[in-house]
Amino acid sequence: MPDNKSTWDWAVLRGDVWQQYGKAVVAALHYLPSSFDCPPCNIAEKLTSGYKAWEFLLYLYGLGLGLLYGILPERFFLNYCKLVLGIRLMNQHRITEANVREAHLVLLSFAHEFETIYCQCKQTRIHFVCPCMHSLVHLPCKVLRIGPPICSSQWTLEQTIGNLGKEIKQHSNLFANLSQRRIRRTCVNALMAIIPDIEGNQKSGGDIPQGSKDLQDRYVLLCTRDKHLERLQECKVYALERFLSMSNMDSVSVCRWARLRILTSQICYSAWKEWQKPLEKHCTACNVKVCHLFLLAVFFMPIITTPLDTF
Amino acid sequence: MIPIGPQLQALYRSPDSASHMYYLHDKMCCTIADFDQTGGLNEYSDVLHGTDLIGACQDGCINENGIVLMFSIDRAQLYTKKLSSCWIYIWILLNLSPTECYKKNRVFIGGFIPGPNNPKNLDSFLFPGLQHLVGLQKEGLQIWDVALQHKVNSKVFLALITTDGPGMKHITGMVGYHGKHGCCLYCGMQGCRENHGKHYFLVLLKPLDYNVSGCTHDDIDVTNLPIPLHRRYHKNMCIVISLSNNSQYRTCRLETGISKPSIFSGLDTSSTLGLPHSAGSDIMHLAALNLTDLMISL
Repeated sequence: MPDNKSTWDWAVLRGDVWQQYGKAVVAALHYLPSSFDCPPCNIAEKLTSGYKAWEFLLYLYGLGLGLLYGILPERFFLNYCKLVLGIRLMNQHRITEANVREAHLVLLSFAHEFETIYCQCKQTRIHFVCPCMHSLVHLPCKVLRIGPPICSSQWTLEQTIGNLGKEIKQHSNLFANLSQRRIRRTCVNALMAIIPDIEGNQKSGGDIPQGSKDLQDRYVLLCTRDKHLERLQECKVYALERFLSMSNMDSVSVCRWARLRILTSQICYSAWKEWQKPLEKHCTACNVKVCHLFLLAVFFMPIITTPLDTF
Repeated sequence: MIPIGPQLQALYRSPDSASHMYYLHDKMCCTIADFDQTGGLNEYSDVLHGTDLIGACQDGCINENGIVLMFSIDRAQLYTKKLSSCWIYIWILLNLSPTECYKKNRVFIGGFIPGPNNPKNLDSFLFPGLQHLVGLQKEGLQIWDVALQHKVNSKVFLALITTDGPGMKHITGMVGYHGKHGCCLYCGMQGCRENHGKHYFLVLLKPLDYNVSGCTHDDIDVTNLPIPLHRRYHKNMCIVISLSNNSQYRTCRLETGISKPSIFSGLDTSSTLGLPHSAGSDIMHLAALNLTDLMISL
């Protein structure tokens, strides 16, 4: 007896709902931090043609949770949440032992439940259980054996293929060309390893962009900044007073900076400049996490703390 | 094929990069000390935190001057609209810190197998590169270390082999993910197939009213999955090799899940983790593939 698709109660993304859904994915674009590389495009249009692994990742384990809530029937949604939790834990660069345990439980439970609610022990549906479902179950144990999966993933190779592919200059004879490119890359890398100074000069200038201010510890303030001192609003003066444990600062004028590069090389933007642009033109990067608190960066300014006795 | 040996030697030629090569050893000493104290680790953030590499170090397979490599191979489609696939493999040097070893200038391109047709015998293309590696493993790699100002004899250890699902089948010599023993880690779990289907699927729960010959095992307890074993893999592989005729081979292939000996089995056992342990899991393809499956059923 063939499987009838109308009995698939989880198949909710059809017709109009699917189109709407694709639009929602695109609309979410402007709320993603700019450090997230390219944001997912319309999944309804591009699913079968060149949707990238990174987009899938971002979409399924990032956006999907919010977008599918309310659309997917509850028990399927809960099952999906388990997958998201498991994969998010496994994709971390640092995985604690507690994480491994949790991911192990949650992924096992996901795999089991997946078969119960989707396949329902029907012979015609066993093909839902694709090979990757099984690999998923092994994932947490592998962390104990060979470290985080991200360390042994294919990203590096794909990246190498990508940047070698871009170097192809002779499209009529591409395999020979690629082969030569590869040899040249190897020679250059070896040379750079032997004489690191070859690339040195270029790098020292490029590390800190012009007009920026180095704050040490790999924090760098980046342009744009105020040319003249700007007077702060009262509420901000109050915040500053509390931060510096001072009182009665009447009027304060500061030079605001728009962007800050932090030690992870990510660049935070500030709301001051970002909000001047229309939403379509930027990706949101002014939400920052400081000591487990999520904050909105309004602007940046350097504060030089001078020991009191010098006054 | 670009030999890996001289590329490694070049890294020791400047004091800066030579000192980076000892990252693994330094960290490993700390990790082993931690491990001995508490019997486990609290946090995993690098390959060296895995018990497999810790074990290899404790057994003396990786010494102070040891070089630890990861092999990674995949098929690449160079143009989206033109038949232009080829295979590329790279070496990743795990001696370096995770912030260094995945960078463009520290990734060693091993070999390149031009297309556009798929290689009929992938092993034959991997052979020159691996033969060179075996040479290094057997005789050691002589390196002039600028930082220490003396000559060191390094042993090259191949820790991990990573590729995507279909590629794994060529590397490990197993039947592939649609076989009865479809797990690329060789965990021994058996799959089920549809009545007239040829593909097996690794389902945990036995379907209702199901009576396909050879697949009538009961539900599998997810909390108690078999552990992948090198010994079993090796034993079964020996059986498969020893068979003399075709029909025996077919039955045996079905039962053991091994279709041929892997080229990596030819490596010295003390300088690799051994299959199937060294088979890495590829979270990138896993996450992406998994998703498509779910999406399409949605």
